[in-house]
Amino acid sequence: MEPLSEVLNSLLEAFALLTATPLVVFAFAGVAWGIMGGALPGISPSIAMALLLPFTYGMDPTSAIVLLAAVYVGAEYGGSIPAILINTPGTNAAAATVLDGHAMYKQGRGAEALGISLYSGVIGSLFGLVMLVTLTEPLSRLALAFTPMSYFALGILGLSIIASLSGDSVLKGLAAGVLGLMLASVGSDPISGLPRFTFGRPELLDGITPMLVMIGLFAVSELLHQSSTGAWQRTSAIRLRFPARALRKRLFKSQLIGGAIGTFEGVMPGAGGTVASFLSYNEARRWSSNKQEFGQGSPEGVAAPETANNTVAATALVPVLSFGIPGSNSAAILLGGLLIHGLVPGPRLFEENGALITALYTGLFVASASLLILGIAILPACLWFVNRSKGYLMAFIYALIFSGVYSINYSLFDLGLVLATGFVGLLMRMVGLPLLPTVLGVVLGFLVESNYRRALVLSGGDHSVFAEDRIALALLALAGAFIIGSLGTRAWRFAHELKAARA
Amino acid sequence: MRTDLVCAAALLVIAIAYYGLASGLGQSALSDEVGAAGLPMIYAMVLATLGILLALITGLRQRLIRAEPAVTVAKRLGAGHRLYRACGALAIGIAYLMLVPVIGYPFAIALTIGCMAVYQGERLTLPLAGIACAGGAVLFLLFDLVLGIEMPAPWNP
Repeated sequence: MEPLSEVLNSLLEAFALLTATPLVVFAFAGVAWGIMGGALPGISPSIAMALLLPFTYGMDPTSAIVLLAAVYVGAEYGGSIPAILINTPGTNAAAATVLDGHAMYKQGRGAEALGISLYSGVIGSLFGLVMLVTLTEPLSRLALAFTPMSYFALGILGLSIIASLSGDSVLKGLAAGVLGLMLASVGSDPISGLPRFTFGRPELLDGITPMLVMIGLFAVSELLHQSSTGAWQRTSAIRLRFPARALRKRLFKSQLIGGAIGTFEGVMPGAGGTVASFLSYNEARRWSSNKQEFGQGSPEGVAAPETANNTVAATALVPVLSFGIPGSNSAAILLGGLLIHGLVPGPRLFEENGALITALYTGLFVASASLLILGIAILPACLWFVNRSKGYLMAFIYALIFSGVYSINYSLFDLGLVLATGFVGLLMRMVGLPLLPTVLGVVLGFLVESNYRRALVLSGGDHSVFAEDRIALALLALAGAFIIGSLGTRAWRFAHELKAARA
Repeated sequence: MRTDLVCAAALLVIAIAYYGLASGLGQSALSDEVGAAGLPMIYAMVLATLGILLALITGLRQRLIRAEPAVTVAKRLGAGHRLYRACGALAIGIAYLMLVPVIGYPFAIALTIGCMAVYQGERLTLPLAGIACAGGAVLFLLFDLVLGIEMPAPWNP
């Protein structure tokens, strides 16, 4: 009966949290902010989260993490609003929703498309939450057997997976990851305390805060990029209509596909909501009895990707909480939120901060449920925002970033650093270097270097210690397999291109 | 393909510069066998290798797949224009950084909002000035008075 009493205790704890803390307020606020951010083209979930990150600095850890996680949930749904109404996905993951969502809108079924998107989003969020609760703790227990060698290998594995899967080129992904490791080496040496690459600036002695790099690379570089793009489209007022019972029954299969793919892609670092959305769209079409409707305004074509990307919003937290490896930009921001409050992911997080984990799960549940209410309630506000002039919106977002970054450390130097990383991020986009491996490099740099050197101190400088540790060896072999596999796939594709070019 | 070559060249330059800086790091009596410069030098070597590989593969692709369309002048001009527009937005940020200690947060942030809106194509009108001033005031009230964060200003030492 012990497991049952544990479940009851957790439920009681969750209920106490709901009534005794402002958790509900933060979950609602996060979802509302996320929906509005996601609804604005160019403001991805990660940017919506990055804009709030500085404000969470002074909050208690529970409120901060719940707020950030709720933004992620809201933004994934918000992205579908402009996708359906103006043929422009508000987030990358909503790109698959455009295919049938906008077709439905053009047929005068926009209200129905929005209703299906919201309904599927809520189902995806709740399904993802169940998967998150089920998978995270057992996975994190694996980390108890980790030695410094294993942690080093885990960092290398995380980097190699993300680098292999982000962007079009494995080499560029790996290079972006190494650039992140280089940025992480700025500051005092973890063993001797010797200053490295600080150029005499005392502000750099503690290293570059990953949060500043995230805000610069994700938010500022996107704003700089947006400054050279045209005006956003406008839409007319519309109301939302939930699917009737018969339609709900028809959508079930596509939602199941979306949930299953969303779970797998969320748990796998590097895949994320965009891949999950397109995969689930394809699979929903494959298994649908109304294949011919896909691309012409199929309700299942909206339900599958929306369930998938909302499932990912929860399951992407599995590798973050278990091992500290973020699988997507948004998960990286959430990891940043954990780290600035001194919370280190892994089994100890569950042992030492069990209340925080319960609060996070409870907050995510509230966020998923509130999506249903807020999705309807703030739709007019979203439409108002989408119809505002791009110039004013960008000006206010810029001002918000400047104010928020300063408030972290009361430092204008930090703001200069954010602007510099923003410009670097823009140049990286222009030459096709993915941003996520760099952020991951900055986040994992300390873990990689400190554990590598600690392992060598323990072994007296003998590198064979990495081969003797079974977990480290397995993880390093997996990292190697990922890189070789990705390079092999690219080489195979190149051979096909060559054949086609010669034909 | 031209972008890949630019990327490869940039990676090589960064790797060489970083290696130079890393090799100049001093030694500490407290240091371990790897030393403060150990991993940074490895990072630089890995980055240089990746840059060389990228250049080689791009060159090979260019030689083998001749059918691929070359980057047009219009595309190049497009990229240049994008960078120029982005540099303008960045300059507004740098101007804020320089102005804020002199004129204070509420005025600098209002000026930034106004400049950014005009830069994004809004017409410089009285309502725009009003919105910028109101935005500056609201943000100042939010940060300084509500959140209690002392924003940079000459009157805040």
